Amino acid sequence: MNKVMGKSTDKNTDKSMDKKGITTLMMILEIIIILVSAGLIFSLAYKFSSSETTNKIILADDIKMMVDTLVGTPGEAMVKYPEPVSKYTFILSSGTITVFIKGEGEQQKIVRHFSLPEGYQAFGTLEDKDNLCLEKEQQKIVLRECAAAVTAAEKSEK
Amino acid sequence: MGEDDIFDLTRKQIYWGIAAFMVVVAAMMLMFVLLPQYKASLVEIPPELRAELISLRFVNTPECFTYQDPASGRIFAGVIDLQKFTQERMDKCYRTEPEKGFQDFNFALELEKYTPSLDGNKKLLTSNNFFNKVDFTLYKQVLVRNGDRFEPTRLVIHVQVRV
Repeated sequence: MNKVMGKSTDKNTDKSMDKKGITTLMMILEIIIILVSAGLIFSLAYKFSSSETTNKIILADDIKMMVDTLVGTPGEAMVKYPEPVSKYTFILSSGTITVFIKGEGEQQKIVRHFSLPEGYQAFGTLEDKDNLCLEKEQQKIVLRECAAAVTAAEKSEK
Repeated sequence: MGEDDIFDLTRKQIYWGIAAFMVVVAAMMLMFVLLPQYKASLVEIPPELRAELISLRFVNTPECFTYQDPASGRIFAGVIDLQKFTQERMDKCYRTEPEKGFQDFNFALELEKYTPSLDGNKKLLTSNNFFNKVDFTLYKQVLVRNGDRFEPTRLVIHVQVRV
């Protein structure tokens, strides 16, 4: 009888140990899943916050608006972009401005379209340069690095 | 494994099934709704500003409607040459892409007191993808060069942001 009782107590202990083991295992699994999800969400947020896409969109929109302003300005004029842009590459053509980082694929390039009056031309490229200037010379809009004279004049103003 | 344990495991499986579904839905919403919305709000530019900048050409550029003295070549910013204020000139001044241009800004111009009416409808100068969907209107005080006279009036610019 005692032997039988002993066997059943052993079985109960095994059962409760099994259950405890499974519960602990599930808890560990839950914690891992929560940690992985949190990590994924944080990495996504970090990637998003450090994304260059937003900067490229802002740059392309700004240049598009600068071109529209130059077209609507009588005579000759020049605009200097007020931020350093050495990270980016710019291609201006009659109708589009493309902004990208060297080595990026086609899909990551930001392109903005604009309309020029008949007879106008827009062109120019810029790469690895800090200063970006847009100049209107008669019916041409040229994107280029700011001339040394402009930078010196700015320094003397300061 | 007893009945209680099996029930416990099954309950957990149902719980994880529902939880996984909720996590997937939340992640999808984050990626396809919230982040793009946030991104768009970061780079948003008021359409009025864009339209204002584009429409500068209508009053300041001699290739559009601005009067330019033929002798001296001086450009009279803010002065519209009535001789130039034609649909043909409008087509040369601002033209959107023939196929996708309806997604861009389009304009209809009216020179107050000078725009003729046909059957009660004003004959506006329109860009090639203007479909009479006016989102907002800009007004510019201008002078009109009519013969040898300069007369003050208003250039009304109806703006269609996109169709």
